[in-house]
Parts: sequence; C-alpha cells; structure tokens
Amino acid sequence: MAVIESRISTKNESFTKRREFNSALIKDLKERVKKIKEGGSPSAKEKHQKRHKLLVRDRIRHLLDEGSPFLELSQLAGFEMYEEDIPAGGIVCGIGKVSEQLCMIVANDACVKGGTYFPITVKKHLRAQTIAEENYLPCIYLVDSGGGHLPSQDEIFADRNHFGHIFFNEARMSAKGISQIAVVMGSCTAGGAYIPAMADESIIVEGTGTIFLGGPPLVKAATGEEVTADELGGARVHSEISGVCDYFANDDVEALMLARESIKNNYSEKNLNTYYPEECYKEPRYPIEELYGIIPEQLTQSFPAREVIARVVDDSELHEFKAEFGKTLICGFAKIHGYPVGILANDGILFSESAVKGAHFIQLCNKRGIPLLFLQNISGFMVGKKYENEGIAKHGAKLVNAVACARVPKITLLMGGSFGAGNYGMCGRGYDPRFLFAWPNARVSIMGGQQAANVLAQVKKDGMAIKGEQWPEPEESAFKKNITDQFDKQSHSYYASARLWDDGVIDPCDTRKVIALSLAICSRNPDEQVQKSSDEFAVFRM
Amino acid sequence: MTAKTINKILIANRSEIALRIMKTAHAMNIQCVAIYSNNDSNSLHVKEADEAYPLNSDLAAESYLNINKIIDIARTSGCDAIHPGYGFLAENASFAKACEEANIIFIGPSPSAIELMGDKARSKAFAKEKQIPVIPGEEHLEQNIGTFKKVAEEIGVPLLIKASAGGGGKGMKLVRDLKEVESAFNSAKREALSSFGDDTLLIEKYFNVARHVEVQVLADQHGNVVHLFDRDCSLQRRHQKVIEEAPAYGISEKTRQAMFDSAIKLCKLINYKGAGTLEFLMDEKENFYLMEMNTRLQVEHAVSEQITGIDLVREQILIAAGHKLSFTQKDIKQTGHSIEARIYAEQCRNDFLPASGVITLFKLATEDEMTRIDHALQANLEVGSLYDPMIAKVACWGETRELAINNLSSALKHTQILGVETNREFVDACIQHESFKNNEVSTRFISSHLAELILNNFDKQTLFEIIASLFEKAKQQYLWMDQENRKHSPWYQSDDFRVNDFQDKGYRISCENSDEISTLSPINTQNYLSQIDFTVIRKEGNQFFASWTLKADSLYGIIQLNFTKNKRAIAELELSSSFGDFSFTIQNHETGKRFNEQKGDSRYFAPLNGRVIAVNISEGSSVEQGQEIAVIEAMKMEHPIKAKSSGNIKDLNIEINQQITADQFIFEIVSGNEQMDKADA
Repeated sequence: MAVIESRISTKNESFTKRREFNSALIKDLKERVKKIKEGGSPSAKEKHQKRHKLLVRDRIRHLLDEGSPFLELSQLAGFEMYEEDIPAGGIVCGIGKVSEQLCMIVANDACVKGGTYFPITVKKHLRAQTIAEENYLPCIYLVDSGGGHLPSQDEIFADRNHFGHIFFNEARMSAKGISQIAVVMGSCTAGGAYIPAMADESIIVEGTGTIFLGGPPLVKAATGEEVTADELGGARVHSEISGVCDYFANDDVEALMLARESIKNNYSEKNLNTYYPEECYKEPRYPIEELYGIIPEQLTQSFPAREVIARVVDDSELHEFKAEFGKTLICGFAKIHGYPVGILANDGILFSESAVKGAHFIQLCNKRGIPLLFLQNISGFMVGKKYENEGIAKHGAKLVNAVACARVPKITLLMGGSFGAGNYGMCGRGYDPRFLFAWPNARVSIMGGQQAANVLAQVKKDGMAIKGEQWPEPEESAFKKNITDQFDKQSHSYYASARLWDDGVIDPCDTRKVIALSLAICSRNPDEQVQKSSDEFAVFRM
Repeated sequence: MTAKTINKILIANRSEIALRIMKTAHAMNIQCVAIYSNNDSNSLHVKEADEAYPLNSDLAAESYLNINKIIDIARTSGCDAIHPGYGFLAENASFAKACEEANIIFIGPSPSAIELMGDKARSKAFAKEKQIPVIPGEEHLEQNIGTFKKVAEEIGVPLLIKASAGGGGKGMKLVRDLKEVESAFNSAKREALSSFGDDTLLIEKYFNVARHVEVQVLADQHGNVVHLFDRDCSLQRRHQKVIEEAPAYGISEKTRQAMFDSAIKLCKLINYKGAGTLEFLMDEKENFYLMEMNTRLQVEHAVSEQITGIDLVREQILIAAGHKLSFTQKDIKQTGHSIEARIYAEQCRNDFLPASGVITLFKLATEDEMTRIDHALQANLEVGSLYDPMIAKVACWGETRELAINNLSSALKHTQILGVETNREFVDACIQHESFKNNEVSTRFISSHLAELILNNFDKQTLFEIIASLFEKAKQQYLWMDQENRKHSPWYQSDDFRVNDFQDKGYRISCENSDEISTLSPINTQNYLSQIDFTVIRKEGNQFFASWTLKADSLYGIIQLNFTKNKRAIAELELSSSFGDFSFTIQNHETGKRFNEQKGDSRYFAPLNGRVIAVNISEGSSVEQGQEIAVIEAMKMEHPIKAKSSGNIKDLNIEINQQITADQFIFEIVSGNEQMDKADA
C-alpha cells in the first residue's frame, strides 16, 4: 500500500486563516454541546435530585464500564426547532460498553419537559433503535418519561414512524435475540408503560419508578377510584404483585448495577460478536489537528480529499483503486484502527467516469465484505449538453444502484457540501448508512442556495416575460436573497442535525476515533442479510 | 555586690549557637573556649574559637553532656564563665551547681530557679498558687469514670482525655460533648493499654485554636526585671517550632500588658536572673495560660533582638558578671517586625523525619541590616542523626509584618543548600500561605494546611498530572489484562471518550488530610503516559497491583487499583523520589451524588477496612443523633461510627470482632417518620 504524501504547507497564510476559522467553529460547537449536556433548567434538576434521582448523564456514567467511550448520537436533536428549548431532544442516546458488551443506551431526560416525547424525541428514539437493530446492539432503556407530549399528538402518535413503532422495534429486536432491558427510574405512563412491559427484563426503582396505563388523575376521572401513584404502579406493586418488573432496586445506582448484571448474563452469540482486530496499527503520519488548516472557510473553495484521508487512516496508507481514472472520486482500500475499510471520497464534481468507478469499487468491497466509508464533499453531478448526451444520468444511476444494494456496512461523513443527487450517489441519509456524521462546516440541501435562487428567478422571469411583464432589478434581487437566505439557514449542519438528518455533528479531530468506534459497532453485523437476490452477478467492469 | 570581670568564656555547646555566642563575646573582647566531640573536630565553632578542647567521644552523654569533663576543661583553660547556649546542659541544675562549686560563673539563672521551672508539675502548681493562669486539667486522677465525669464538668468541653504515657495521638480522645466522656474514657483506656502498656489517663482542657505566644525577659541580680516583648511561635511540627516572629501580631495591647505583667511577676517571685522565656498558650479570646518557663537563651532570640536592638547574649554576660541592667523597661522600644525560619535537614513529605547527607554546596542570602543568618554551615559538612537537624536560622526584619514576610521569602529563595534535603521550600510555603499572611496562625497551622504546604513547593499541577496519568494507565492496563486482542480497539482505550466534549476530566485526589478536586486536560496527562513503565505485580478479581517508574522524573512507586461495589475505580498510590515519599488516593470526580449519600444518609457503610471492636446498640434500638453506634479499629486507631440522625437501627449487619471491608453495608437508621409512612402504605 502506498503512503499518502501530504502536500499542504502548514506555514502559509491560508492554512493559518483556515485554522482560525475552523477552531472558532469547533469552539462554538463544543460550547453549544456543553450547554445541551447541562440538560434541563437548574430548578428542574434540583427538584429531580431532591428525589434522590441521578441526572441522566450521571445515570449513563454509572451504567457504563469504567473508562468506556460513549458514542453519543445527535446531541443537537431539536436544536432551535421548537419555541421551547429541548436539549438533546429530551433523550440521550448513544453506544457504550456495559459489562464488556457494546450496548445502545436510550435514556429519557426527565428534567427536560418531564421527559415527554416531542416529535424529535420519538424520531431520535426510533433512530437509536434502528442503529441497534442494524448492528445487533443490546438496548438499555433508562425510562423516566411522562409519555407523549400531548399538544404534539398529531405528530407523534398515529403514523408509521411514531410512538407505537418503539414497541414494535422492541418486539422485533427481542425476536432476533437482541436484548431489550428497561430500567424504570421514573414515570412510565400510558404508552410509556409498554417500554418496560415489552422488555426482556425490567428493573424498577423503589420510590420513584412507576408504571401504569392511566395515572391517578385519569383513574379518578374514569372510575372515581382514588389511588396513589405508588399503589397504582410503584416498585413494590410491579415486583411483588403484577410481575410487570423482574428486579427491584432501592435506588438509581442499584438499578443500574442490576442492568449491568442483566447484560453480563446474556451469552447469546449476537450479544458477543464484536470483532476486534488483533494486529497492531500505526497512527496516521500527519496530525489530525491539521484538518483545521485544510477545511476551507467557503464551500466554493475546494480542498484535496487525500489530505483528509492521510490524517484519518492507519499509517496514512491508501491502496488507491483506479487512481488515474475518474479522478474526481478517490476510491481505495485502507484501515482504521486495524479495521479494513473501502473509502470513496469526493475530490471534485462527479462525472460519468467517477460514477462508474465508484459503482465498480462498491461491488468489489461488497464481494469482499469490506465496509464502505463515504467522504462527502459534493456539489452534484456534472450538468450540460455534453454530459447529458453521454448519459451521465444512467452512469450516476449505476453508482446509486450500487450504494443502495451494497450489503456491507456503510458509514458516511459529510466533510463539506452535500448537494443534489451527489448526496444520493454518496450514500446520504436515504441510503441507510449505518452511521452518518457531519463536520460543522458541512452543508446539505437539494442544491446550492445561489443556484436555487437563479433557477427560481429564471422561471419567474420567463413566466413574466410571457405575460409581457417587466421585473424590476431590486425586486429580483430581493427575491433571490430571500431564497439564498432560506437555503443558507436550512442547509446548515446544526439545522440538519437538529432534524436528525444525520447522527451527529462531530469535531473533525474526532473523525478517526468516531469512525473507528463505528466500524467496531458495524462489525457486529458485517453482512446485512437483506433479501438475498437469486440473481447475483460477478463484479461488472464499468 | 561588685561586678566581676569575665575575660574568658567556655561555650558548652556547638554549631550555630556556639558561633553566635562567640560573636558577641569577641565583640566584648572576651576570649572563647570551644569544646567538641570527635565528630565536630572540623566544625566552624572549633575554628572560630580562641582555644578548643576535644571531648574525645561521639556520644552526647560522654561529650556535650559530660559535666565533669566540661568543668575540668573550663578550669584548666582558665575560664571565668561558662555559657551553656540552648539544649544540652542549658537547663541542667546540677551543671549550674557544679559551676558554682568550681567557682566558675554559670551564665544563666540559679540552680534553684532552673530546678523549680524544670519540674512541670511543681512550676504549674507554683504559678497557679500565685494567680498566674495555667492550662486547666488534672493529673493523678482516680482512674474511674465517675471521677473523670466530675472533673470534665469542672473543666468544660472541649477537653482531652489522654494517656499519661501518651504520644503520637494514640490513646488521646477529644471530647466535645460531656455525653462523650464515657466512650472516650473507655476507648482511650483500650488504646493506651495496647499502645503503651499503661492505661493511666489524665484530663486536660483542649483548645480549638490556640497560639503559642511567649515573653522574653531579662533579670539582673539586683531585682530589676524587664521584658523584651513577645514572640509568636505557633507554627510547629513534631512539637518543634519552625517559624517564629516578634512581636506576636494582632494581640490587643491590654492582653499583651497583662501577659508581660504575669511574666515579670513570676520572675520576681522566684528571684530569676538572666535571660528567660515564659511560654503561654493563648486561645481565640486572648485568654492566656502559662505552659512553662525556659530558663535559657531561646533558639528564636534573634527576632526579639531585631525588634529591640538589644543583644541578649551581651546582656546575659553582663548580668552574670553582676552588672545592673543599663536600661529600664521604658527605654526598650519595639520597632518593626521580625520573622525567623528554622532550616532543618528533614523530609517534609515523610512526617518531617530528619534527613542526613553531606552538604556539597550551599549559598546563603546576603546578610544586611534586615537579614540575619545564624548557621555553622561549611562545605562537606556531614549532617547526620547525631545532633539536632536544625542547620541554619534565617531571620528578617521589616517595617511591617508584610515587609518582613517579603524579606524572609526573598532570603529563603536566595538560600540554597545541596546534598541534604531541607525544609527550605516548605518554610517559604508556610510564610507565603494566605492564612499566614492574614495572621491566621495557630499551633495547628501546619497540620491543617499540610497538603497545600507540601505540594506547593513541588508544582502541584505537575504532581497531579503525574498521579492522574498513573491512574489512567493503571485502568488501561487492568482492562487489557485479559483482553490482549482488544487493546488496539478504540473501545478499549479506557479514555472516557465523549463526543464534542472539552474532555477535561475531574479527579478527586486525597493526600494526608486534604481532599482536592482537580480538573485536568488529557493533553497534559497523555504526555506522561508514554513515559511510565508499568510492571504488573498481580491482578486478583477487582484488584490490581503494579509497580511503576517514571524515568524522566526519577519517580517510582506502586499503585493499587480497586473497584468499589459500584464498579468505580479508585487507586492508592505510593510515590518515592529524591524529595521524599508520599501516598495518595485518586478517583474520578463525579458530579452526581454518591450512592451512600443518596437516601438521606440513612444507610451506613464501613468507612474503611478494619475490625469491629465495639457495637453499642442492637437491632431495633432507638438512637439519638451523635450517639456512638460502633467502633472500628484499623491501623491501631479507633474510628467511631456515630448516628447522623435520630431513629431506629435496622438491618444491623456487624458484630463484635468481625472483620469488615470498606464500603460494606453495616446498618441503617430509620427515622420515626419513615416508619409511619411504611405503616400507612
């Protein structure tokens, strides 16, 4: 394999300027995340702690093995989406090591709107379950929620991907042998009651954990019966009388220790099958911090993807496939923390040659069981008469086809632009990558804001021209500005991540780490057995 | 009485004090005779003397304490007088008597005054009789609880019940509430018996915060007594003074005057002559109690000299010769402030045990009007365990206390002594400490600020970074022990990785009495990780033992990693280095409340590993807040477990003589209310 030779200068002005720009971007991200991690209001937290309940992140810390990483998902969920502030979407999801096993942890933050499910909370919960199902990760639900956020009922209840799908997922995963453990550390009301009820094993905390289909006020209204929450569905009731729970805990920590025991006592193959490469690897030859000086301030400026790869892969080694063909898409074999990976990285606009090269490479990796890593920085496929005539649509379709049908795990990183069909060809959210992360400078939209403004203005102008109307210049500019402003806002990485179009915005310096952690997770289910088609072919030379 | 002439003095001492006396004597045109042990033949006091005679021994009893030999030398060398300095024979009545008999002037008080003040019980009784306040307390008590309770009521709390043969805090119990007298009595008896084989106890008033304040006096043979103001010598370790200052700062003039009056009154009552010091203990309310009188020149006399301009040795000699004091009380003026630091060859991090070695190089601050250094240092001087480890005194004057502190700190920084470990940086840390600057001095200053004082001079940040690195490395090694194939995985780095975190980690680091929370960036700890060599000694279940070295800093030690029942790692570290040995405990600091604090502290857990030696209650019995429930013995010390709230004992899980481990659940106290709640449910 060949070592990538870095060609950038770390001394010049552009490097320094970019470094300053990106450092500020990361500082902003980390500060926002810090605020998000604080969770609910101080008064809510105080009230919570007065009841001897641990804060959600402390619960997770107790649950995890000492020193374990926690690959937290979509910290920005719900960010500036609602009138109210819903830090982390009111639910903390992530993957960590519990009793030596990688597990998906889904934990309500009762200090944020009582842990109720906003539409984004439901989406985040379901996304965590999807990741768990795709990667055979045992699930631990730390339940402390008032149930659905009633004012949003039309966005959380009835549709396929609404609240009910949580229990559907629990049942289907349990059926597949993926452990479902629920720890009831607060309310589990109404629909929420099914989270522990559907779990393989459930644990309940004395004094704070309650489970019931209808709470005391509803019972009173419905039947006139007066009953306390504890009598209705407290820890004693469910451990001694109803049998809804299997383990009784005196407090939060004891409950979390019991959850650790439950994981420890699951010996199913699916629970244990993470692959750990035995060979020693070498760190990249160039410091990853240099990425700050490489990523440009503007997406209109290009940057060499090889410089990124050189700072992410083991020993900066890349065995490049078809290096001299379709050069705007770099394809090659590399390793990250010893995990083999096939990389597809944009190094310019997609042409027909680059598209078919990518399709060829994906087929190859798929045959060999090598996970795919897409490094996106794409403004789209080339347009114009020459390209349409040579059939770029059908060549692009080959890439999209390969991406869609690849059975090996796919991981996507948005390291710059993600526009138009380029997003699809490079395994955007619609192509079910196991994980999708973005750098804070990344932008995602149907096309660039400027192009969209021009297109829409052109259409309008043409329409007016037919009617013989004139469009004064200032109005046209205002019209265009409106469009570009909308696109700027909506393509922002925070906007995208708030809506869960990705699994999180990450610091470029954590890229190697986050991808390595993800590859280890994916190794639990290396070859997704989607319906095996009867018509398998050899690798097509494109 | 006419004054005698003194032409030649024998100095019955060594080191800096011998030189100090010589300096004044020579200025008075008096010849000096030195004596020396075998070990001291090359000492400066021998070189500086006009004549020097060997004592032909290394043993103190055969040399500087040998009265006959010394009197013989004085006689044969034709000395008129003997100056005993401090220590050795300075407060030995037989020596003073032997001088008298040999017709040699003893530069000091009369044998009877030495004898009276040397007997603590007698001098205390004497002072009490003459209405000079002494520390309330009783010895020679009938050894039964009834008597002790009665005496305790008289003295009032807080008080100490301690072993007569005591020391080192063993067999010593602090009683803050009269209800505790009985348990303190019983437990002090047990400890006294097991530690000293003698369970005789005494009772004494205890002072929460007390200062050591003393008064310097001079008395001639004509009934004139004056004081040279006071000194504060509160900063002590191992019951020895470290920092002394004059005057004692921040005491009201009224109290000072009352103290001076007491001092002069006592001197007059016993016909005292010469220089002397009355040591008092002073509480927060400025009540002072006489502890004892030192009938000699004090180590710390320099600070009094600096604020009064009076040469105490010169006055001692003149008084001994029979001269009247040349000044009266009103002639003595106090000017500015003076502080002295004693430089000891000692290991500050090892309980201040003496250090030994050969001084290879030393450089002292320049002496001037404000800076005075008393020492007997020279190159290749061997500092051993034979004599007192004090090797120099640095005293600095300033117009104000603040200036004196600055001058002293600067002088200490310009003083370098290599070849033997000293407390130079430690004393500097003492005077630079905020509490010292604010004059918050007490006899417990050093013990209560110990950790800060010791760490301060070895860049605490660096030390914490090293400790945290060792902790992280130990956790990682522990994790890898049975997971050789996983050590490359990012999931097995034990780095607590968090997405978009600033990644700073909180540690709780405990050393001696201090408990500190420190937040460190992994960038700093990672620097050390690669420099640490780890040798795993053994791994047993949740325990992990390893030895380590950190080459660049020539540090080495052992680390023991334990896991609490909640799977949290906690490490005990022992660290050895050229600058001392010390031990630490480290764990990650968690923002959340600890497990056993969760349910209102009602569940009790063993605070440490040990043996249960007393269980004072039974299941279901009702207890009151503060009541002693049980006693655990560990490391020969007793640790009482007291009720933090009133209630009833539930789930009593210990019995007498049971061996228990830290964190083990021992009992729960259920409050009356809680039981009611349960009954309702």
